[in-house]
Amino acid sequence: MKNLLKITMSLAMVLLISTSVFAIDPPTAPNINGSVSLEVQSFLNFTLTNPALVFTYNHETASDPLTQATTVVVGSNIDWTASVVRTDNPLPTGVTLQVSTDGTSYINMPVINDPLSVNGSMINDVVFNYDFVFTGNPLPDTYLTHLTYSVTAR
Amino acid sequence: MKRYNLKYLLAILVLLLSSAIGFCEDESNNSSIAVTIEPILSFDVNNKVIDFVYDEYGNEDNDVYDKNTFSVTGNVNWEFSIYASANVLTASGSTDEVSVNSIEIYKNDISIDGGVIITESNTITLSTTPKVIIKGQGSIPTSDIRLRWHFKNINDLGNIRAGFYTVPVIYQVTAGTPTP
Repeated sequence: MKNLLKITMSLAMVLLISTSVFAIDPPTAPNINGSVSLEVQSFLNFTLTNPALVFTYNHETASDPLTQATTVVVGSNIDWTASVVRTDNPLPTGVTLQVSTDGTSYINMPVINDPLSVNGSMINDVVFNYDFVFTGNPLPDTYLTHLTYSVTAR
Repeated sequence: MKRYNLKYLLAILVLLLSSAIGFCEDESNNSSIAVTIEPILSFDVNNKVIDFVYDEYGNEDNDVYDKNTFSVTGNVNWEFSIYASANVLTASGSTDEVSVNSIEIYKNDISIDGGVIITESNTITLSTTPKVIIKGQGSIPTSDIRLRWHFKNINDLGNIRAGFYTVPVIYQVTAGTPTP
């Protein structure tokens, strides 16, 4: 009986081992690599707020007119340069147009076709502040000077 | 002990003899043939690179959608899943990022010739976790299942710096649970 038990046990072991050796593993498929890409194309546009400025100077009171500003509102997703250039200069002697991009430090408006530029990027605004400086005794009249704004990619 | 062994031997001999006599009388043989069918599973993806284009000036021209197809060769249940290797799409030269959560995938135009679709998700949102979009069985021929990729909020990308953003994705087919 003991031998019979031993034989039975051995057979059981052999069956177990066979089962584990010949067990069918689930198949695996190699992963496949891909990608997702997004091309964001560049864009650049701008608008002006308060582009036509009017200054009035009273010689009798010699009141200095307040500064005024034109804002360049830029819509973009790249780096850019905003510029303003004076295309003519009909101002008489004693009337000087000044400009500032930070609202505190004013410089004389550059000569004709010499642009004043500010670098920026993405969606942003550039504020050009203007002021007039009067010296001497300019003749009463209306003087009109033309400015051209541009925004270019850099 | 010897008596018992002798008895066993005699019994076995009697059995063998009777079997032999039986076979002789019937003149027939019983046999069996075993065949093992190995499980197989492989798949392929057509158009592995999904492209979207954002153009501020032409919303109608924006490539909000792209498609690809996949095929499965197998004789088992399987689960098809997709995941990204990162949470965001990035571009060289830009610190901006676009979340992969902006991208949805859903099945489109399913027409099965061979295999069986067990279950399918309507839509999955791309993430770094594998998400099963279709569970099937057997082989699915090429082009039977089209996946449609959708960039959800492409018109909100105006604040993203211009560039070519990308993220690797992994297509995965694993053996699924047997059909109940």
